[in-house]
Amino acid sequence: MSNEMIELQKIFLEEAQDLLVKAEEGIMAFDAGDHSENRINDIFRVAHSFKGSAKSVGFNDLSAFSHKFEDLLSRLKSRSLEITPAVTAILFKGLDTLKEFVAGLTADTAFTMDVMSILAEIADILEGRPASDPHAAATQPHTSGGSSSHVEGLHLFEEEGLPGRSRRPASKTVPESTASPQSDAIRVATSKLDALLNTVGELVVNYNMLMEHRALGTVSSEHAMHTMGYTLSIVKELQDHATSLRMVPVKPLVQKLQRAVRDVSTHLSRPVQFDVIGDHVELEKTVLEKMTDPLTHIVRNAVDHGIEPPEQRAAAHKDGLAIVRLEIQQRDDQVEIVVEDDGGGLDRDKILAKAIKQGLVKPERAEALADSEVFALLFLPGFSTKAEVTEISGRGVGLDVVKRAIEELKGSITVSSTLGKGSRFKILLPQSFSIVAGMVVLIEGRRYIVPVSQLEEALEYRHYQSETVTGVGRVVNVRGTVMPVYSLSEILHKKLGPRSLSSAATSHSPNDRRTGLITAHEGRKVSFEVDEILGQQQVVLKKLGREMEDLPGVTAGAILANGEPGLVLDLVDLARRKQPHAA
Amino acid sequence: MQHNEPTAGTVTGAAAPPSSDSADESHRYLMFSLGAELYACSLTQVREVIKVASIKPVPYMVPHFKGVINLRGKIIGVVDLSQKLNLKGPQGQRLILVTETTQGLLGVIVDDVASVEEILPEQIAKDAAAESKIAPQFFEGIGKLKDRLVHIVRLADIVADEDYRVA
Repeated sequence: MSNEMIELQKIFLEEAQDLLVKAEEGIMAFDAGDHSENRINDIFRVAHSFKGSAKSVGFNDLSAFSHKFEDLLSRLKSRSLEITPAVTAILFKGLDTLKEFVAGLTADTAFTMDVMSILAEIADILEGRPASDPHAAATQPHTSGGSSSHVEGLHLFEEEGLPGRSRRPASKTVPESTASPQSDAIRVATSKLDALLNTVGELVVNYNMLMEHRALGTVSSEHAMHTMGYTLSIVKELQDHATSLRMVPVKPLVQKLQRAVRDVSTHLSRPVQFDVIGDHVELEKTVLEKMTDPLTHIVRNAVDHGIEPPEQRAAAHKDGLAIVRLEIQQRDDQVEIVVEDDGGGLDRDKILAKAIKQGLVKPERAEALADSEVFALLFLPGFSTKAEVTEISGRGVGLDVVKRAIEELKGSITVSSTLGKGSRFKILLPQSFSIVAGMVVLIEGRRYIVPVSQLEEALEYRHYQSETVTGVGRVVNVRGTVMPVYSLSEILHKKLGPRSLSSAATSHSPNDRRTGLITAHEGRKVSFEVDEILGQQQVVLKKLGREMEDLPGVTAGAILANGEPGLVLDLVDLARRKQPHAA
Repeated sequence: MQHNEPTAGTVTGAAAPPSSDSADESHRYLMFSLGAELYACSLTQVREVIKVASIKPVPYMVPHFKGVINLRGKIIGVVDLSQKLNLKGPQGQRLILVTETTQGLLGVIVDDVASVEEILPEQIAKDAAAESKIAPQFFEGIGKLKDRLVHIVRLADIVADEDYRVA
């Protein structure tokens, strides 16, 4: 196989992903009731494209399957095939098969799949034979989790006699039933974007330093001052544009989640309405990618474990149509994602019982735990046993994996709940901008940077009551809250060899003028001791070489104002290492 | 190989060897000393040579990983090769050779840099057993110069072959 062909295959597989997303959007809309000519045409075009391109890069098996899929759509297009639930089901199945095929080929271009059974099903449908697949028969029209603002679906619900709830449109989800325009876009390697962002970042930092000259009055010419001011606004605009380059729409993810809800609700025969607010928000590309699995898990969980079976809901006088709501909101430099359900809520006693059984909580401590601490137990590894990882919320993803993924993005997840009423998962993610406001601190004569976003407060220890508690170490009482004191010079420098001093020398000198940096982790406050705070500086975060990956508390490098290389500390990471979850 | 421009406050250009016609680069070797021994590595492995200045130590790394420097806006790690190999000897004009390894850019501190010499393939004895602290797999061979012999090594591979983090 020539290099050129290999390249072409790679390009095809990348573009195939986009096509599949488009196809899924179309089929979801079709499922929700949009059987318009435009809609069917959209889906047909995707299948057609697939068939042709796959063939031209040598993926003959894939092309052959796409051909059959295209036949199905062609019949729908010419209105010579009756639209039944079985047909919709086979469209989804066909799409899933294509997805699997593409995934397989992406891993290994020699991949093949046995598509005999689905081809047989398609053949059955095309020839008007009753569906041979038992699942198609089970797909009832009333269990659909599609976008809630599709009014056409309303009829199906009322026909099935579901109590009460009319589908309330979610405010900003408006589906497009007209052909979606070809997007004017170009693929760019993320490394190019990173390089660009890095350079823009340096420009902004240096320009800010230049502006300080202007503020200090060291620039004499008024014309120069004026030009500098104007240039600053251009630089800021450039920064905004550069940052937005890595932001991608959250819509494809939302679509995946809609599909997930639909699948689970169909499988369990639990009617669920999926409301989405904020699907116009954009997220940074890596954040979006890393949040896909965790959010899919949470959303499936909501339907599987959160929402009660219909009989139970009826007995509790709850609406037969359950609601799962996804809200995505941008607040300052954070993104807030909420998944809420009106299901049965979390049972504190049941969770405690399980945790005790798994050895995660000592029985005598159970009563003392606040609700929030009990709910936090769900995120501990070992909480769900293998036996429970069902087909629905399974696949090796537990809430502990979800939490870890979120923490890797320097985010947080909390859950609140009211028994009988529902649960609410809230995820906060920092928008990762490469420029951060940093506090320059001195530790044993060396300068380090602490991100201002991690600092709750800075104080001088001598103003507060400190003491040493046996078995715990040093603690300080700040306005009633007692928190541990960790010496950063001990944490960092004791590993640096000859310059390190013994702990006795670094810690308890009386008349301690040392400064404390207070950071919060999992709701608890912790203080880190440094020699001095020197000032604030905007810094561009620089990736450290691979040889420095995974260092405790050190996540990035930066250039200090005087040109010195500096390390950016991650106090939250250090706090976590000092205080693994205690229960 | 390039000449580097001075950057604010940290590193300034060292006497870079005369720029070469890239067609010949594969035969040009940089002579440097580690401890008392003279070594050479192909010029193609050395991106630039800079003075040792402003190294910020990094916690949780082994002692011979001296820290990081600011290389024109990039933060790169620096390893003291003599210390890594435990070679003691006179320290001349300590310089950093910036090399590109499979892990990215890395700075290597050597005790002295002498000159750039042309060594043709016929002047290199590949199978000669050499007594050296450097493992055989990083050896290119023994180069015969006019008046002496040098150990020719693959610098980039030597420094890429270690996990510098303290366990």
